[in-house]
Amino acid sequence: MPIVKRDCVIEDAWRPLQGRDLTEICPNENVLLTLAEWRTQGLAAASRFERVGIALAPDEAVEDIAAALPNLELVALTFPKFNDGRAFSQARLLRERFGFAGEIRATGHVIRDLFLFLQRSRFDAVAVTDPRDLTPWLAARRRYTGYYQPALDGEPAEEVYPAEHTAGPTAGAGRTERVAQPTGDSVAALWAY
Amino acid sequence: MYQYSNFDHAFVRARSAEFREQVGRRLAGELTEEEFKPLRLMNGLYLQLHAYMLRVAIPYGTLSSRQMRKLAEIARRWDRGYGHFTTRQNIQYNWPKLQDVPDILDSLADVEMHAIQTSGNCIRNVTADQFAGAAADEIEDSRVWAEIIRQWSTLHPEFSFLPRKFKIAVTGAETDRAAVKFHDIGLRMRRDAVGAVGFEVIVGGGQGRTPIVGETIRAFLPKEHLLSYLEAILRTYNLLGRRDNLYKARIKILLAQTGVEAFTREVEAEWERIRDGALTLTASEIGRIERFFAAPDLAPAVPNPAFATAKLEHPDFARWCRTNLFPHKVAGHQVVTVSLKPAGGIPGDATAEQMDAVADLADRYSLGDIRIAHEQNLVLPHVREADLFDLWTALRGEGLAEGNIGLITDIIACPGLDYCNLANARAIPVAQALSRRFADSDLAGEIGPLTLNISGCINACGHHHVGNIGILGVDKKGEEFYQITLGGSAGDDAAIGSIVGPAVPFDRVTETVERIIDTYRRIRAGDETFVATVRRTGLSPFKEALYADR
Repeated sequence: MPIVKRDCVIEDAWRPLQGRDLTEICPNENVLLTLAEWRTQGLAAASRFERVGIALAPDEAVEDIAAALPNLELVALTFPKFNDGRAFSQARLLRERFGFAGEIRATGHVIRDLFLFLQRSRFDAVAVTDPRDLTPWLAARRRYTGYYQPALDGEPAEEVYPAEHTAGPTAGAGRTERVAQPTGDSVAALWAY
Repeated sequence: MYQYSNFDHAFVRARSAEFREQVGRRLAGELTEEEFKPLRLMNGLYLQLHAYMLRVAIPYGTLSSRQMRKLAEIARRWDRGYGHFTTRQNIQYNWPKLQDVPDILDSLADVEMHAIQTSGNCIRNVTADQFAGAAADEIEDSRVWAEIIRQWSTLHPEFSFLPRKFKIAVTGAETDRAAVKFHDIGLRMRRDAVGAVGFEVIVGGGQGRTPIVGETIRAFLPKEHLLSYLEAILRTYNLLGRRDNLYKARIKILLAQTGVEAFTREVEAEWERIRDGALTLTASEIGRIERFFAAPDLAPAVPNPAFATAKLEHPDFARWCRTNLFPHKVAGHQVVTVSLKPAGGIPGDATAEQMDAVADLADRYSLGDIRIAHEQNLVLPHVREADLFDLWTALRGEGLAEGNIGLITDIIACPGLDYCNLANARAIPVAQALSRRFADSDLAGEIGPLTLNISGCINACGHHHVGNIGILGVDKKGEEFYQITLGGSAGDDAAIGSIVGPAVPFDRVTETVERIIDTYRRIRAGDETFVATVRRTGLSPFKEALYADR
């Protein structure tokens, strides 16, 4: 399945572990573990592979992978149905409370009408069925010139995110200055709501 | 009232443009109805029994005369000349054509209105006390906070796909007119020991098939923390609320299953982590919104002798004054409720002509300010006593001078099976028959304060659970039956009504209510209200009157 990430459509380089024997997998493979797999083989996997990720189910708590986060390149969050929005809160907690700076990817039943919300919750990537979904992904963030509440949306095209993930006033204002420019209203007015 | 900034204008325009594209894709066959459904719902567009229905947001029930004229224009141009004001202070149009909806939304945007979040599993249009900013019993104007919440919740990145819809109500008055104990979150302004104003936070109230009175999870929340506290509640709900069963997905079920104490601990723990973050409201930001709702410059007036004389000379006017007025903050002024409950009428319906007339009267007598009450009436909040007789005379000419606010004919009813595809039974004809039966204003006045609410199905849009008399339409083998409850209340004495006995068929509802009323008049003690009698006696005398001979 193709991935839309940072304004490009790319092939998915990640493969689920799915019961394979760690020692029979090439160490440069990107391996995606479930939470249960992480609990039993996480440390072994982290020491063997260059890149390890966790696919967290919607009913699994972000707190449960907090200790693993420094070892992770990717956390995949799932939408069992497009209108099951638990992953938005999971992403928010990952970024804001735990300061996770790796990739957060949306998987499952993701429709284009979620793109705006995904970007604003700082998902970096989304698994899509149709490579043509790149266009709506790009269009989503051009739709509005600003928003009413502080979110976590840095410029998705940028490689570097602000180091400070807690949304303090400075971080908030900095993030929304871009979108506030055309309106002439106070920046604070926009992010404070 | 709140004035859109350039930012608000651009935002609403962009939203409307987005929906125009989506409608285009649907009409071109690029989207199936199934794919289109979540998109149209996010813009307030339902598919009902006979047609699409567009629900337009009236944030916290506040309208300018200009906006009311626009609602009239939409009714005339794109609908069938009328609209329906709802129990959530919104307006619904029952007959729009899909291809016209983008134009309607653009037209609404011209007057700073929209249909965003009037549907879907998101934070819905925030409701508030319809007398906010005018009532004498007010601590602070709740619209300030409703507007702050409206902005914060609009296209919220995290809370737009919740387990279920989410309703927030705010009151700033001593008397609860916003039914805050029956919302997912109810906010009640309170003063603490040193006189600072903040919020009592009530969570988990609701009606529907599981009616529950909300629980206070925080007795006093300082104002500046309102949004971070709401985020903590919503985040807890978004992560933990059930998604496996539509009927168990509201926050009230989560609260019931986790227990109030455990739920409160979760919320407070999350709030402690985020409370001093970007959502903290600064005094200048609060002040910026407060200025939009600055109290109007009304000169206190001494009692008007002509007003007293007019009441003496015109008993109809005097009767209307007894029911339809509420004390204003400023001496010599009154808050006027304009009843949308004429005898035999459809509760909450207004014609385009009536909307225009109310807009004109608002300009002449109420500083252009109009409110929608959740009881499906209109309010002119700032009327001089000296103008009341002229106002009443003009309202009478428009068929809007019914003097029945708070009486048995001030019926709340949902659209029911006449329009709604969820309904099991009709609600409107039941309301019409009852309002005709009790149209005698002397009789209604003698019965006294009484709320009578009708829902056409268990979803309870007609608030039957909290009616002093509640009527719920049910389907029994293809026939419409009505279950009657007694003793409910939406206000400070919040309670859920109790079922009085077996449901009755459609053609026996009026007679059943008559018997209930006859029983009350027979057994009441002194000037006891209906609900007080029910609470004192319990259901037995009513059961006996209704079922002893059947």
